[in-house]
Amino acid sequence: MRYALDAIRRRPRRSVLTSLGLGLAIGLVVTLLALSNGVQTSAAELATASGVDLIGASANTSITSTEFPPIPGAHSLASEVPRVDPNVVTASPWLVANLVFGNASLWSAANASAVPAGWTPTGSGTVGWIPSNNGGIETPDLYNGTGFTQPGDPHYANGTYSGPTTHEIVLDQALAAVLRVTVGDRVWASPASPATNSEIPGWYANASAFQVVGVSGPFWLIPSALLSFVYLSELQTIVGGASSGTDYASVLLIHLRDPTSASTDQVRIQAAFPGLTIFTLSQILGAIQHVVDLYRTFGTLIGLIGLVVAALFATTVLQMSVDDRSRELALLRAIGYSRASVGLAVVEESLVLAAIGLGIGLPIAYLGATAMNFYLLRLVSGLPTSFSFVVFDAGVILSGVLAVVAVGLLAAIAPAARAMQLPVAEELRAP
Amino acid sequence: MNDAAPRPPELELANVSRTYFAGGAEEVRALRTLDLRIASGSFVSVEGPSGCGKTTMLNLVGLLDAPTSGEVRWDGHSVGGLSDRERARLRLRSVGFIFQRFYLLPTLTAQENVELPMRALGLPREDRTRRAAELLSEVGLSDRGRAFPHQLSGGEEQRVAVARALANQPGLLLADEPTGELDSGNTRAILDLLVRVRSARSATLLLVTHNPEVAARAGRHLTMRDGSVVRDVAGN
Amino acid sequence: MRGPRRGRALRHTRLQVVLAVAAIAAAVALPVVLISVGGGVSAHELASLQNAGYQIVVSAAGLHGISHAHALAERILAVGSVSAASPVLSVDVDAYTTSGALSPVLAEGVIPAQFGPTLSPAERGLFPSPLPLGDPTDLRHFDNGSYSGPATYDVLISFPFASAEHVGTGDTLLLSPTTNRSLGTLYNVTGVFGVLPTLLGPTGAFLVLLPLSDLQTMTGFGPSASATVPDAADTVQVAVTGAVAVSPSALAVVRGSIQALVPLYSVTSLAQEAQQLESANAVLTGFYLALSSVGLTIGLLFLALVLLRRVEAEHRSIGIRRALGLPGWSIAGGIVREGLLLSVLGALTGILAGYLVVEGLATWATSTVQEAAALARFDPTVLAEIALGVAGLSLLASAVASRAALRLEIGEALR
Repeated sequence: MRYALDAIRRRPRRSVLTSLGLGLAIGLVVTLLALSNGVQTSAAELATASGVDLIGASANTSITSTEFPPIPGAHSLASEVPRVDPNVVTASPWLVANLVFGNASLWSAANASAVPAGWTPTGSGTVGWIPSNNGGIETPDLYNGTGFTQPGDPHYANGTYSGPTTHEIVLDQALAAVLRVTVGDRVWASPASPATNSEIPGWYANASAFQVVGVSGPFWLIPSALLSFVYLSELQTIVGGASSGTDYASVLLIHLRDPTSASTDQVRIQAAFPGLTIFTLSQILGAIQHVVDLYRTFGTLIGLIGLVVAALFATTVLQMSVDDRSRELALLRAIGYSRASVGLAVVEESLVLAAIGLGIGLPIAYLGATAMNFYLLRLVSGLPTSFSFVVFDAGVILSGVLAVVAVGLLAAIAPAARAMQLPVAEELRAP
Repeated sequence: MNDAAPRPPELELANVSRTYFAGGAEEVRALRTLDLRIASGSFVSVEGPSGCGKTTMLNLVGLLDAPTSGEVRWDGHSVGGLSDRERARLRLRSVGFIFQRFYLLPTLTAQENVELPMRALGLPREDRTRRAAELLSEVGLSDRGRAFPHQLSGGEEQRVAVARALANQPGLLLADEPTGELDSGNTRAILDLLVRVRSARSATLLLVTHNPEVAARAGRHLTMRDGSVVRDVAGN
Repeated sequence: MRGPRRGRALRHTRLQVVLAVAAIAAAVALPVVLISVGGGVSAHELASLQNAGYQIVVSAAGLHGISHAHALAERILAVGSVSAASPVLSVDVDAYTTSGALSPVLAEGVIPAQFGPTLSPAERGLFPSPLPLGDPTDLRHFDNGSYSGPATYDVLISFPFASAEHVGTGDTLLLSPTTNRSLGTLYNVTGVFGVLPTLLGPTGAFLVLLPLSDLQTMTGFGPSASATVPDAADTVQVAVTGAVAVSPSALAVVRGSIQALVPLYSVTSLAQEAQQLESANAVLTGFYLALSSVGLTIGLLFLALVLLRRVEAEHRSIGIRRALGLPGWSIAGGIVREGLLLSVLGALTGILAGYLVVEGLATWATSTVQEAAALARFDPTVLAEIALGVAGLSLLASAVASRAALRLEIGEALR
């Protein structure tokens, strides 16, 4: 230890450069580790917190394909799936469709042929669900209003679509702000957009009117900047299509009592419902991983090169140190220190350098990671407030320490070998 | 440290030669077929012009170097077959080196320099400290233990080096022109010291020197030239 | 210092120099890889945008936001310089083969005669020509919006789908808007078309192509009486005549004319999209460059260290030269020269290493990375800029060492 500290004290300028270099490299690596850790744990935490343990799509869909034809028999699935698998708490059919929205003031303006210049239709991702059938599944928080008032899906009325229409809608804050509406106001929705101002009155005539019963926070399960929520059957009626009146959904979200048996439940439900493909959460997370493969490779490359440069750097500094002190090392050998103990002294110096680098690198990494998180959070919208792109935890620090030790040991190999091979008699000859 | 020092070894160089290959074809024959016996506990001085092989012989005897041919024997046993670790162990326990340039570690205090060989031997801290203090007092530096080498005079530095050489009670002291960088006053003092510690311990002392006054105090004088011993006479 | 010691010291400095060059090379290789791969990928995306057979896209908010697509296509066709206006309706449907196997596929409804001219030259080679869909203008079945004309029941299928499901020309295929066979309609496969490999994402290779009005009736987005969106489409892809396609200003005029027809739809030219794509790529490149600059900084610290070491090792000769009265700049000049030499050597090695890494990724990495690496572009200008930048930065390292050299105490150095 003494030897190592002496070496560092004796050459302050060199030591500063070295520590800075190692610190930067370690900072870089730890930042990247924190980023990779953050993205993985945050995504996994989000997914787990969503309460969605299994996701049902239409039959034979593969997780990497983008084609998800609608699933028929949505309402019956909601009751059938829990019956087949007692571990299922909730099977919630969600229909997701883009709708165009208008408010009351635009309607009056259009009727008076006074649509403000530059106005364009507002599109929003709309979720049709059975509001009372989302037990255990994360849904957005209501900021305002009381939300949906009816249990079940009244309009569906056992498949007749003749039950009462509630006309209730919940908008997220962003959509409410764009439409300039609040709880109690009316909005109109349609799957098509008017093409010209003169088509607007006609558009209103064909659109469905809703009453805003709630304004909610953002919702990350559906990646859309503007969101709204309505009863499933009412959305089915609006988006209609050839299957107008047929009971379909985009996905079936399943919440389990015991999520640890998800793969067993997957097989069980799959067998009972051949019209569905069931994915587990981990399969979906795996698919996301595949998409970010390129960025992961780049990140690994950046980190590896940082470590390689750091190791080369440390090797050079240690070589210099051994050269400077060749005579002292030879003396130690003459006194009777073994080759191994001289080599160990060099390894020790390397580890001390690495430790100083770690001391500099960790704060750098913390700052870097915080800055990166800030930057990335601004780049990606619609994430829940708890989401963090970087997670700086004990695991990351430990990995950083391991990387540092590895670099320290690696860098010490050549200089230690040189120290051990010093020709003792030659070094000790008086000049 | 009251345990008796081991008996100094009987040293023998049998048909020993040492050749250096300094870059490419150029050969330097530092020693040519040397046969030499050094009795246990004797005081031998070695003289000769520079480059005649004195230091090479010392290094061979002290196990810092290995002969190109021939054998070095300690108490009749060849040391050629010893591993690096065994040679280091032998140096640590049985050999004390004293160099012309002292070679104290500049970042350690006088006391720590003396403790260095004992640390390698794994002696407990209190023993080390006590014994280093004793040795420093024996060489007349009891009040300089906390000084760093650059704060010491040349004579003082060499005294510390002598104390360090004595740290593990070696039976063999090898001194390579220990007074080469000292003035006459210090030369005499260091020499007195060496003679005193040698006889106190009945150690073997092999002393390389240019100085006839120094040589005069040895029991046997070797004179070397061109890698061979050309004169070998008994002294007083 | 005697011969062997000095010789060894020199050899050691040589080794340090080699290590420093290696470190700079590693640090340079990184941005070379990132820039060339990133640049290659975005150039590829740009090229596929620019090589598209259409130049303007009309789209609208909503599920299938465009209504009255047939009429709109006619009106856009009437705009000057427009050579084709192809409405496209995309719907996920289920396909049942005669063996009963079910696959989700993406169905695209098109007007065959308009769709053909909007294909890129590369795509055109993948489709049979003319498209073997019985009703080229899709007016027969559409029948003025009554959808009462005879339907062709012709469908083209993509090659990946055809080979995966063992379906080919002459076979029949049942298409259904949901996983419900009874809602299906039976089609005749009249041809197979190839698909271009897609980049950095899942491939939507299971495709079927059929007349627009057929898909509209099948999915319920057709007849105005029952449909929530009458005569629906997602986009209208517009091709312009050759001269206009390459003139941004002329293209802007055409875009303006179309926008005037449908002021509430979104009408974008691909040039605008290309610009957005480029700026998005620039953000990513900047991000990676910022990260790799850390490596370069370390490399330069390294260089400074090695140069400092050189000054230390030669302090006596520097002292002698100073004592002889040589000016400071002649000593500093030597150091700067050495710094430049090392950094340029490092940069060149790094560029070579970067090239080899990219080649390695293109051969051994996972499929996504392989595809991206295969697109890498080594732009000589950018590479020269990197080398110059590194050389420029090496001056900083040389400055640190020169300062140390010039502050040497001459008396001390000569002692």
